[in-house]
Amino acid sequence: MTTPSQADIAFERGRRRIGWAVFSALAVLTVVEYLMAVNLSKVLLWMIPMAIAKAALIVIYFMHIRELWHAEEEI
Amino acid sequence: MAAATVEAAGHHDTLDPKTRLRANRLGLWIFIASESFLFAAVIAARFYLLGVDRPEHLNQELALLITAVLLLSSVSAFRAEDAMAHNDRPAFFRNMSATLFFGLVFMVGVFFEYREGMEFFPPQTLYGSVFFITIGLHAFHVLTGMIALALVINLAAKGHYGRDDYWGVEATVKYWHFVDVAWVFIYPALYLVSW
Repeated sequence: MTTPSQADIAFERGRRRIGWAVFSALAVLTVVEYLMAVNLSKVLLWMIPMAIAKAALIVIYFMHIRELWHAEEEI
Repeated sequence: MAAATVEAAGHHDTLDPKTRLRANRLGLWIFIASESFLFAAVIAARFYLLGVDRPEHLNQELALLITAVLLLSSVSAFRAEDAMAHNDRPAFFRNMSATLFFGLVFMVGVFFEYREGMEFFPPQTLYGSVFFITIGLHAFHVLTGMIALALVINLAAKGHYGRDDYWGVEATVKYWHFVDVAWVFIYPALYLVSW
């Protein structure tokens, strides 16, 4: 088994940060959705952009949709 | 016909790995798009049949909890794919197993949702029928995703996949993320919206 280089370790740390940053954004949006739903009425129009924003975060950062246009992109 | 099929299969084998990977990815995204229409149809049915009201008896805390678990499973799936892409097999097994575990926790939560749903809005009612179809369809996708995750873990344990060839891992993880995206829309549609 090869020892990871410093560049590999730095890259891995960067990827890990992206994972947790996206999760944090998703968690915040979910909690905001929940608090609005239980405390306010007429929240439909707020739910739509928040759901789209959450889906976009997952599709862009976790599903790497850009690979379809930039095939050489590293995950 | 058979000869043509064999010839076509032979031709496929001559594709260079990058072209094959691009074709695989495009195929998977088309599949995911087709699945999206299925979920869009059941969510549209919810609004068509019930308007924008929601019933009183919804376990908001349980729904929030299983939503958090599913979002967390996406992080571990992301890290599992990343680990295989960099040949870090211990991290791959750790994160893939965590994803499978979170999927199992989600399914247990769905079981409790179903049990409460049977009590407060049985399938014979309008909301009940929409609720059970939507949650059931999604849970079926989670279940198939868990089976795929288990298969990939098993194959990886037998030495399959590596830095240069991990399409099986990538496809399974993308499918898992799609299940998460579907829930991102189902959760507010069933539990949160009101007008």
